[in-house]
Amino acid sequence: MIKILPTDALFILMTLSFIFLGIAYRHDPSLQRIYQRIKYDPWALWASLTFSIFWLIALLDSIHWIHLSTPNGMVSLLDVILQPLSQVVEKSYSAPFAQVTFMPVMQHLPNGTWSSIQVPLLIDKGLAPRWLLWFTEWLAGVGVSTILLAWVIGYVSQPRGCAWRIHLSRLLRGDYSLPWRSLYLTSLCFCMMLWTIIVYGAHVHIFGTDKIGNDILVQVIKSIRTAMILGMVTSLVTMPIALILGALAGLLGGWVDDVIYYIYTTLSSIPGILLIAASVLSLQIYWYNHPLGAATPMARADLRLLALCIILGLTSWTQLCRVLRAQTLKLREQDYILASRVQGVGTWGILSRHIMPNLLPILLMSLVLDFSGLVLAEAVLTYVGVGVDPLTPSFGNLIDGARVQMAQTPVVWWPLSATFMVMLLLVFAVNMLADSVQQALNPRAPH
Amino acid sequence: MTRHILKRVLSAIPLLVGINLITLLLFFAVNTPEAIARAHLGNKHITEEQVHVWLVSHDYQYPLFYNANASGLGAITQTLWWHKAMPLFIFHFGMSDNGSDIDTDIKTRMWPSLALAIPLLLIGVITNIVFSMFLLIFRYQLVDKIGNIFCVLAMSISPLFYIMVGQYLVARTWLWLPVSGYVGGIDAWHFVLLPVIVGVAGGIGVGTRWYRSLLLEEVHQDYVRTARAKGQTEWQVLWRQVLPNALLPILTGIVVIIPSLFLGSLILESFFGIPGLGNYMLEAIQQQDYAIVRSMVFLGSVLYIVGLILTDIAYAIVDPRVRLGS
Amino acid sequence: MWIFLQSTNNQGNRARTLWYYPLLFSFCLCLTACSGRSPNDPHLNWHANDNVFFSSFATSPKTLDPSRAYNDDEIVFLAQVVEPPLQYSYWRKPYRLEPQSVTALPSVVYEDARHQPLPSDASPEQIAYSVYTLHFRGDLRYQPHPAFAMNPDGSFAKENLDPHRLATLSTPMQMPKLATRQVTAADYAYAIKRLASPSVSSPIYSLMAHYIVGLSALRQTLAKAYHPHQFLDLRAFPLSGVKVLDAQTLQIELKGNYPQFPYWLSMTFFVPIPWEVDKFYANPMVAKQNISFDTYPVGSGPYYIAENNPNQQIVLRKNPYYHDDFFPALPETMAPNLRALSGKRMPFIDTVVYSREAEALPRWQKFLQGYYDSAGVGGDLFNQAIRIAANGHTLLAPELYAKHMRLQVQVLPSVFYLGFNMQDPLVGGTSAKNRALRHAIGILLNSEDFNELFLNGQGIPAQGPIPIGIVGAQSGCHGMDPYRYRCVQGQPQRLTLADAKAWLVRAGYPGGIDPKTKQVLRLRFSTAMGLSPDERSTLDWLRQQFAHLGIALDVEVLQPSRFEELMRQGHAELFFWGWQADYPDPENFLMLLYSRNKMIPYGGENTCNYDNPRYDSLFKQMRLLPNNATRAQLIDTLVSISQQDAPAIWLFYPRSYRILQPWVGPVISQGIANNTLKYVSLNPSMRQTLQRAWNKPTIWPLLITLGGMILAVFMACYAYRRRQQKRPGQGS
Repeated sequence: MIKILPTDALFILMTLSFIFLGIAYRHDPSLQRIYQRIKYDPWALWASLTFSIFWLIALLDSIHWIHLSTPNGMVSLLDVILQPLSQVVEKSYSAPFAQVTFMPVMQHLPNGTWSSIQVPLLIDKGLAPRWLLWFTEWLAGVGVSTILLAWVIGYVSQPRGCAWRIHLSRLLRGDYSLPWRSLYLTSLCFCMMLWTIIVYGAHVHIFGTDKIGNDILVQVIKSIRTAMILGMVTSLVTMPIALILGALAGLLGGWVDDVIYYIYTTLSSIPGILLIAASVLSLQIYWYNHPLGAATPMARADLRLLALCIILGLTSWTQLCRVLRAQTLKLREQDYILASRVQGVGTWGILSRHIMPNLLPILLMSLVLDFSGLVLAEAVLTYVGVGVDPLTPSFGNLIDGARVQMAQTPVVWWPLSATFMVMLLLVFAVNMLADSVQQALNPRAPH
Repeated sequence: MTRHILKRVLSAIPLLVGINLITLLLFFAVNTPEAIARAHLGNKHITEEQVHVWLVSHDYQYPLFYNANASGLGAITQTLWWHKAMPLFIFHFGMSDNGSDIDTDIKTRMWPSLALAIPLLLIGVITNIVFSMFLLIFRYQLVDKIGNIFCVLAMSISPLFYIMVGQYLVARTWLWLPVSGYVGGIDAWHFVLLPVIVGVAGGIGVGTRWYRSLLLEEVHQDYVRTARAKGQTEWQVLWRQVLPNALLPILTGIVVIIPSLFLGSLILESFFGIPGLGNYMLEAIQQQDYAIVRSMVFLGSVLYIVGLILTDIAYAIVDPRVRLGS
Repeated sequence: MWIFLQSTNNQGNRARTLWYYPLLFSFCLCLTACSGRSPNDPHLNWHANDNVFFSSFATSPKTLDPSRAYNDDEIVFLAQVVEPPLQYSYWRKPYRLEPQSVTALPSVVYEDARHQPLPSDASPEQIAYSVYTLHFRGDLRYQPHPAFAMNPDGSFAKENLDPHRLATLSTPMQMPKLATRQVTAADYAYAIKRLASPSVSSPIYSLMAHYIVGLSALRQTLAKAYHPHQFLDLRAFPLSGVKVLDAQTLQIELKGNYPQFPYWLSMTFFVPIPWEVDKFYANPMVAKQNISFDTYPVGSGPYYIAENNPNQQIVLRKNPYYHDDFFPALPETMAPNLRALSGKRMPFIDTVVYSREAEALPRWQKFLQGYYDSAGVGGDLFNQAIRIAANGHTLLAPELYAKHMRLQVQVLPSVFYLGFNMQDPLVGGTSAKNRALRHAIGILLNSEDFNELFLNGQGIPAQGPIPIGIVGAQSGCHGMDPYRYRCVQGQPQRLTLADAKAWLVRAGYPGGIDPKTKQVLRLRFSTAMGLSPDERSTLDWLRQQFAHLGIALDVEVLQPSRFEELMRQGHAELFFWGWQADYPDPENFLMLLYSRNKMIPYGGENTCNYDNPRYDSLFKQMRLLPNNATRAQLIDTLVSISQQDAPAIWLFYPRSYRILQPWVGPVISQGIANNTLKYVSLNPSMRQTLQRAWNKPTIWPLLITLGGMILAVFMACYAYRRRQQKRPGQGS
């Protein structure tokens, strides 16, 4: 039975609306500029590809159905895919690619002394590691993908009537305007990662395990959804408020402008983290007094995530509103708007016909620009104790846990490192994408 | 000029009223004072009477806005609004929920916060400007592009990583500095140095890019071209022409982060055990001490508004258009 | 036109900024290294070779008011500062009370309803009143304090209350005039009256009002006389049950028989409180500086609070007026280095510095570096401090053992349990069906595994409510919980999952499915845990356990105060709860299930809201009896009732682990006494030597950083020159 959590619904909705808007506005000049940018800039291409893969993972993790025998009461498509990795639960910590537990167990020897031994891990059933075999498997997989990818990309990119030999040397030199080489290398990297997980994941814990023996890789992958939802759904809250208030203030002026200006100036005068913390605190009490009928812990955690998105959205729309208002003020004086006003088009007509479409690039830019900040903010807020539910897999919770692990002797470094790598990959890709979008939409931006 | 400043100061008053209202509603509209009282009296042997006594001794026994039981002016003055929100305007924060005096707490905790925040701000700004200048010299070249990508990489790392790795290496593995703690006076540098280094390192990515884009706008101006034509070296052009002209936007950027002088180093203070205002706020959140959180929200906002006004005044002093226009 | 144009520097000055920090940094390091300290020494105001004890605290004490402080993190300070009439013997086991500020253990006289004395062997029903007489030592004096500096007319010394000076003060010890005075029996009486004061709201008032004659009447009177923020002179209000016979003698009259009362006399609620200080602290100018009983309690104990900065540090200093107190004479069986201390004057340590360490990790790291003299070992850190042998023994980790650190294990008088809310229709009640469900959960919840995974053997798996070391505790198969264990070769062995499943069938949920609704049985576990990573994995584990039975466990993570509120309102279903005894008597554990102590409606300690008339009547008999065979019989019956009805699954008795640095003198593990600091001694010169040896900074990364930076600057200069030469004056 499919179970749609609120954030699932919003995330899927967001995905669909993006696809729809992308198609509907495909001739929009600003979207065209972004598209061109991504097509011709290797970094932008890399970033958008990486981001799409993260998006796909989050999407897979957003399709849930009821499955009562699991602790959460439901599973997602991603859980099923990751099942081979997550099903083996070790006793406690184990290092990446390790064969034995991390913590030695003390044993009393017959001669009266103590010795510490490390117990073999459960994942490969105590068998001896066959590194050579595994590596051969991996190499084979990667080799096949290399050739397959090369063929596909070579085929797609071949201009009509161009001989294969010439085409190939052109490709290698990077003579085409499209960054095929970058596309190829990026996809190859992902293939290698995928094969690593497929081949090695069956025999070892690639990123090790945590204190209760759960695979870190699974937890890191599961955290992606939380980050994506926070980045996306928050914007979903921010945008309508900022758009409506900003456009109204700019267009109408007068007392409406004054009131809206007053509201957002007041709100933006309160330091963000304080406002968020205070709101989360108040909300927790409210929930306490008005318990929700949420059946499963998963659903409760999800509501908390949604609430965090809404609070983040409600406390961070002011910046966007300010920009939109300024832009509307500029647009208002444009000739064609004055003309339609003379023709008797009403306020809503002007808003929907002329103002809103022109504000779209700014909205898009703010979405991408705010994304990385929100992902990073989640970690900090969770550390402060006003973030996501402790049971939600998230980067913040992983980092919070790593604090203890970093203080161990010998140090348990892998959970933090794994989180670091995946988080860096995501945020870096988004930041590079934001850079490209910004340059595409705002050529005057100094670069 | 004076009129302009006066106007700015007066325009801050409705803002403060709004903030005050927001904080009051945020805390008392969703949560009854009784709940606070019970939370603070502990869990052993509590009676209704004790709750009432606690409420009275903490001035929480009133309704929110209007006291129907009181007569005359009392209907307004014997309310939570009058007792809890009004005194904030004269910076009288009253008593925290656990009984200590918030004014005194803020006074004592201000200094560790400043000891951390001021060096962090100054060293951070200088480092970022130097780095961005360096990138600007090589602008649009490979060095610049690589530098830019490194900046994006640096800003893609959660600040928590910088702190945890910095603490692990410097304090735990290499034993250079104390792990955490604080001592007042001149010795404070022992404890402040590591957070400052970590904080500056964490801010380099964002800061360098920010200053680079600010300075780049100036680089394209005519006067720069003139200076360059006069035979000044690139370095001289940047330091003598570009930087002074970009000072205003730089100043704006700095003043806007003034509240973070007190609160922005929240995480740093907590990780390194510095008993400043950020830590105070964090503990208050964990202990659900509404009186403190409310005071800090108000204080943070006031500082921000003061910062804005100061920027405005700086603009007015420096920019002839504002000066003449008013 | 630009005023800033003039202020630019030449490039040489600015280029320095890049290599300036590492240089400054290394200079600073050298500076500290030369001053004889390691550069990472956090105690900059103190010296390692002074007779100073360095310790830490995690949460700032909410209050140190003797009438209010109840939590461990408060008592740990307060118990060093004030002196209750009685104390626990430092070395005797089981725990025994001995005189502290009294000359002998208090004598008790029983009286009947007409206040006529009864013989000491009178039956409990006859006893209407019991009168305790305490005779105090004559050499008790308070710590120095400004409140004792009085003018002949009874007003406070003017110098101390000078408003200008006061505004700059943070501790009363900085005031110019300090004095002391002798402790009198009237001060003890004042403290007892203070328990009833509405401005104090003492946590034990309602309990004591039940026993001390006239206390509730006094409360009525005081409530009328009380005005917020004003000094209420309690000397003017008589308390009928407490009589000051002479300067050194006090008589306390209790309603009925309360054999546990002497235990209360060893707690900080019954320490002397001088009225002068109460009046002094009522001054609004003083209160404004956060100087009150909450921060600076005044007592006659071995130490006084010299500085209380709850965010940073709390400093205790030796009370110069402390009475003669000598290390107890120990029997031959004790360690010789301990016996060598016998007869020496206590306290041994001059100053105690408690530093605030909100986080466990920095605290632990500083302990490893030698900057704290002792450290408690909590869950998160346990792995690295202590190794568990396969046979369950605990050993110090090899790297700590190599540093000659010592492990100190204390069995705490406390019990940790999974409670069921007995008023809940799903798990509570006395029906056989729900009881079977509780038994199934009882078997399922493997306290041995829990202990090993999350407490690292820090707990002792429990069979009943009474922990080891308390009268009535059993070991081996005797007193075993037959619903969770079976006896194998004289040792209890946990029943298996199959047994749990069988109980679940009896409960009407075969395979965890409710046959009526065809739905999986869903239980709610409420907790205030889950905020730390370790607790998070505990909750995961818990859910996995319940999944073994096919039960879905909803974990509800709440803020601590919300959790307490949930408990008080009776909305909890399953919950973890711990109880630390006030005194080492079985009564203090068995009362956890006494119906008069129910959380609802009485707000008591019976968190399970268990109500069983048979249990109640046996309990009431048991608590009045002295420790004898009849009482032991009753205790056994009570425990087995609790096992049979299973309103709570007794999980384990926690042990507390402390690690001591090699320079700390010999100590005896004491689970219940709090005033143990006076027995501790130090070897500061050894500390200084070891601290230096353990904290030699690693220099090479600094050199590499320095070299790297210089290289970077040179390369930048070189690249800049080349660029200037290549395209002179060319812009973008």
